[in-house]
Amino acid sequence: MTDPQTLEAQAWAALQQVYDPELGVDVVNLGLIYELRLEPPNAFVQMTLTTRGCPLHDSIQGAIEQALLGLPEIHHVHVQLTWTPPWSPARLSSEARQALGFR
Amino acid sequence: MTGLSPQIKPLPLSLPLGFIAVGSVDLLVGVWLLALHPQALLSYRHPITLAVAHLLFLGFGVGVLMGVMQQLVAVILEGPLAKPHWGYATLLLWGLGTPLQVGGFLSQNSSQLALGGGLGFLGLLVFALHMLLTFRQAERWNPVATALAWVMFYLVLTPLLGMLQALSLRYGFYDPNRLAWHAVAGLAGVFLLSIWGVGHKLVEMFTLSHGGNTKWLGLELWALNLGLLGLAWGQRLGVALLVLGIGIAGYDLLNLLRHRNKRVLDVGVQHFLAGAGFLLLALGAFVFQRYWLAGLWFGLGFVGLIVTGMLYKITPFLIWTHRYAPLVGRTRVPLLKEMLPEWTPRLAGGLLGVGALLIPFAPPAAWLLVGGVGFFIYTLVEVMRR
Repeated sequence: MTDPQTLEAQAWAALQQVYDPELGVDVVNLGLIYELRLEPPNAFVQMTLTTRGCPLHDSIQGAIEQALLGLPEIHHVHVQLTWTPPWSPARLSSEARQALGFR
Repeated sequence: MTGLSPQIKPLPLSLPLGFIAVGSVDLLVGVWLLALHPQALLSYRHPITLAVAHLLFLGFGVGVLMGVMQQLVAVILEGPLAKPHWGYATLLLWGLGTPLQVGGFLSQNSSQLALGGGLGFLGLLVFALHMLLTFRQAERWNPVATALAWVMFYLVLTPLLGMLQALSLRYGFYDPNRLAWHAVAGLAGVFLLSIWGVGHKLVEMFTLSHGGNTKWLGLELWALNLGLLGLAWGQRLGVALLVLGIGIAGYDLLNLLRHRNKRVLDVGVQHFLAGAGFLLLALGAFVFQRYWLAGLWFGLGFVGLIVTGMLYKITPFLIWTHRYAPLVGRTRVPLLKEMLPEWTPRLAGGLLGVGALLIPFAPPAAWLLVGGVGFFIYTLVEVMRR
């Protein structure tokens, strides 16, 4: 059995492979992930989007599920979308700011 | 509070792409006709001018608007379309009606004109009714949705006025003001409101703009609609209100850009800004009563540049969603910008922009438009291949 800290690190690394295809920045660095909870065989993600009604929601949710299902011991992924608190640019990481040409 | 997102079933790719493809061919045929028959630019009542105007506005502009709205209304209202398959009826009726109507103008065959116009109008009615049903079931409302609701009103009013004018030619109650109204309701009512309404949402998404305020869009709608009403009553105040509405729209755009988080403006947003510049030129010409000049800059510059520019953003998204979205998380998939050829959109935009600017003074500039539309279509075909 993988130790919890290693599994969580693997999960964050997997999420960093899920890109917003419009912005070219991953969901972690965009600050879209509010909560990640791993309780093998389940994973729970609470997330938001940069814009309400973003048409990429289904794609991003599906990608997160696929990414986490690739981890050992995770067989079910639950993704929940929330608008509270709403996303703000303050959630962008410094890498994301750089990628977006942030002033 | 948390909540699951609304489950919006993706539309068949053939629906929005069908409108975009037919509309793009209409645009190419329109500028080609203009290049082959530059004498049409001498009069707005020339049969070729009428044919080109309907190819550009009803074929390309309205076609792309209807195709894009099939996808975008669900985003704006955060809910599904009421009857997605109705889109095919619209596509068929409008797709058959517009070329028939254009053929009627070119051959001056009133029966064909009536048949084409009637089919096209029926297509627009089905579309407007579908949008009405979708709007009625919306749980959330916002100024962008209000703009689109007004667009639906003008989308029905414009062909009604046009058909009334056609009937009046036959039965003898012709009124030249009605033709002006047909044009103003179409140009300002449909295109100004839709481009600024939809554009507000698109520019906000494409520049990752946060902290702007949609109240400006609401104010703009009031000013533009009252301006149109004023123009209908022949009041100069109408022009002043139109100027005010466009001024507010410009401020709204600057406000969105000031709050953007994506520093580099991509080619779609660059086209939007260039198109906004043409709107200012058209407005200046309109205020000084150079209506023909205003119409050319509005149609070829404002509508042409902004709609082609937005398609450089929307088409890759549509293709990506259907081709690559199911593979995300399993394998490396391209970013949207990687699906767009690097230099052809800029070349197309440059040719369209210079062509639109010069054509009122130098009709052979229509060939620049043909080149621009050619590169635009090549770009969309490349996107579909990638």
